[in-house]
Amino acid sequence: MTLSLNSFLNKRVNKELKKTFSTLILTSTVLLSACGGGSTSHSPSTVSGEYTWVAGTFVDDSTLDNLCVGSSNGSALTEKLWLRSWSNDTYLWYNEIDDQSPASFSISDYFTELKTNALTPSGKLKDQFHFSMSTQEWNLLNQSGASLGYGIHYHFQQKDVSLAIPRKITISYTDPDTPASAQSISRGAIIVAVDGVNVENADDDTSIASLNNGLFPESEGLEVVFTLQNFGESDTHEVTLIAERVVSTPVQNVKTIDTDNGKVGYLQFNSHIATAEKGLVDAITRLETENISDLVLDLRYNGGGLLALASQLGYMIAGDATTDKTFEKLTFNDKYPTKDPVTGSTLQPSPFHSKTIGFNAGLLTAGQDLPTLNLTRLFVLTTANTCSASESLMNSLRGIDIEVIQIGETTCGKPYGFYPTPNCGTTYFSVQFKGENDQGFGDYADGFMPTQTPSFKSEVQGCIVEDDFSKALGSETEAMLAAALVYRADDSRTCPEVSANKRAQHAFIHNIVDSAFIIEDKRPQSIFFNNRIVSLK
Amino acid sequence: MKFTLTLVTTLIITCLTSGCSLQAKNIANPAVIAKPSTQSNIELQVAIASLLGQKQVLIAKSAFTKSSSLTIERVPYSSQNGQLINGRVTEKPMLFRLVIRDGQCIVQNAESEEERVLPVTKCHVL
Repeated sequence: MTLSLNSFLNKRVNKELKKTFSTLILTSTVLLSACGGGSTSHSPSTVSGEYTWVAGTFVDDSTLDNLCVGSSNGSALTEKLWLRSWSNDTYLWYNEIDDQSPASFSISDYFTELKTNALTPSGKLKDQFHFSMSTQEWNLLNQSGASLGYGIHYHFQQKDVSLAIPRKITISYTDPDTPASAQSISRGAIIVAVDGVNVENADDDTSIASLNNGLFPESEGLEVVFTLQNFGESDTHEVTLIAERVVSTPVQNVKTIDTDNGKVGYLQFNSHIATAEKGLVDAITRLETENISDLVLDLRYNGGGLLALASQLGYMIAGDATTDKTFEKLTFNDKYPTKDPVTGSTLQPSPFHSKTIGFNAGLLTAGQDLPTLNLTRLFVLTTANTCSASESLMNSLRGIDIEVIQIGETTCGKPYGFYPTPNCGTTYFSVQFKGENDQGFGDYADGFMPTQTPSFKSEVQGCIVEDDFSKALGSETEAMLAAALVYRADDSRTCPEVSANKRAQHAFIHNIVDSAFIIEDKRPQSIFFNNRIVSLK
Repeated sequence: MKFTLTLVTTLIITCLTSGCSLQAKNIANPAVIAKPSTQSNIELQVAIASLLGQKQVLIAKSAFTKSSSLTIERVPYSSQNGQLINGRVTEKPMLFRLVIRDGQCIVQNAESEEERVLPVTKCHVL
């Protein structure tokens, strides 16, 4: 399943060759057809060598590969028909696409149409993961975890006039050895202004651009004045930060907490990037040595990444319980019950990895035994930013009957994945597979929801607790960690009180989509993690 | 007998002066950057970008200062709601190594073994 980036780049070359051959074959077919010979295997949708849309009939997408606008043998129509055929072949919910004529759509608008509009049980769109972007941009590579900035991770509260929600930017955490940590910028501080532009009130393009420029610096050495208000304080203070190349630390705050009924380990796991392998091995080794009886895994800001790391961490938590068990099995649409439509390989369940992979061989060599805590239960701290590979970890452990106790907010709900596929300079992301655990469960499109009375498989035993910006991550008084500690104390399984209003907000959290006025960060994407300020005018 | 002695002597001398020393010269040892500077970092970024076929690449100033290897991954793009576009990655990241060979500091793509010499960068054996 794992494909190296090197192999990917080689595949790109092969794909180009394949396209060249496809073009030659198509040309030959047209020429031979004109002479009254040759195959007419593409004939259902072609007229005299030109492709047309015929409802319910789909040519093989490989014959339309890279027949682009501006080329001698391509057009907007061939690009749209490629999207249609490719979607019909590999989209997970291909039979829920309304097969519309592409005539009245632009290419990008047509792609937008090639998805299901079905809703999840909670009423949100089942497919919220339909994207496209420039292939040139998508193919950009950087050092793992490197970006241009200050080492600050922001939490955005988008402005929504209709709901009387003001725009608010809060520091969720900072990375060590960065300009932000050097200035002791603390979690929970509110960014009141950036270079004098007020965050809450900025409502014109110039102001928003100024905010974006400061928050997401484009050039190294840029000096930006942040007006900050520490959590719970009324006074503000100014901090000047100079943008530089920073590297994130994906595993932080590893600690052991002594309690009356044993030691509890805590670790903050922010991102499934390559450098996390060493961080996780070091953390689990330490916690194993300290003989913890429970682990609180803080995934609240972990949006996913390398699936193999989630599999390794699953083993490092559950150990022997993972033997001969499935970490995850991918399922594709019903045209491909036994094989992967993209790689062509036979579908095989992925195991829990019990050895190092050695993503960075200089830090950790491959093939070593991983440490394990051999736990039978796990506490996870979550928010709506807990997504993809992080959810996969939760699901896989639940699949082998490890008790997962969820403290926090509902996760994002993304059991799906795709192979980013390029055509004509654009890379398309269309859901192609779903991940299922050892028990065949993968239906958590509404996210994993903590509750004291779970009734459905996507509901997880635990407590609803909001992210607590008033305390440092890893602090025993931080609301989520504190709730986990109370929950396990004497196995009380008690949760903090949550108001009915908060509970309703919690259930509704994913449905707030602010798209009326989007202010995008349009700088070159190769040098920073892209984020955006989204606002309603 | 004299011919044999001459031949053996010649072989030993040849080995010492060329073959054996050539073998020694070809050994590449893992290295780290001794004195990172703006110039060395620019050189490193240009070299890695060239090996990747990109115009530019973001490499931290601390790269290769503590470890002789470096992983390269895709830029993690997020959607409007802040979620990673691709949160389930199955591609193995690329690995680059820093080595010293014949006194030269060299950055290599570990899989393809393509390499670039870094004339400005000062490095030492790890």
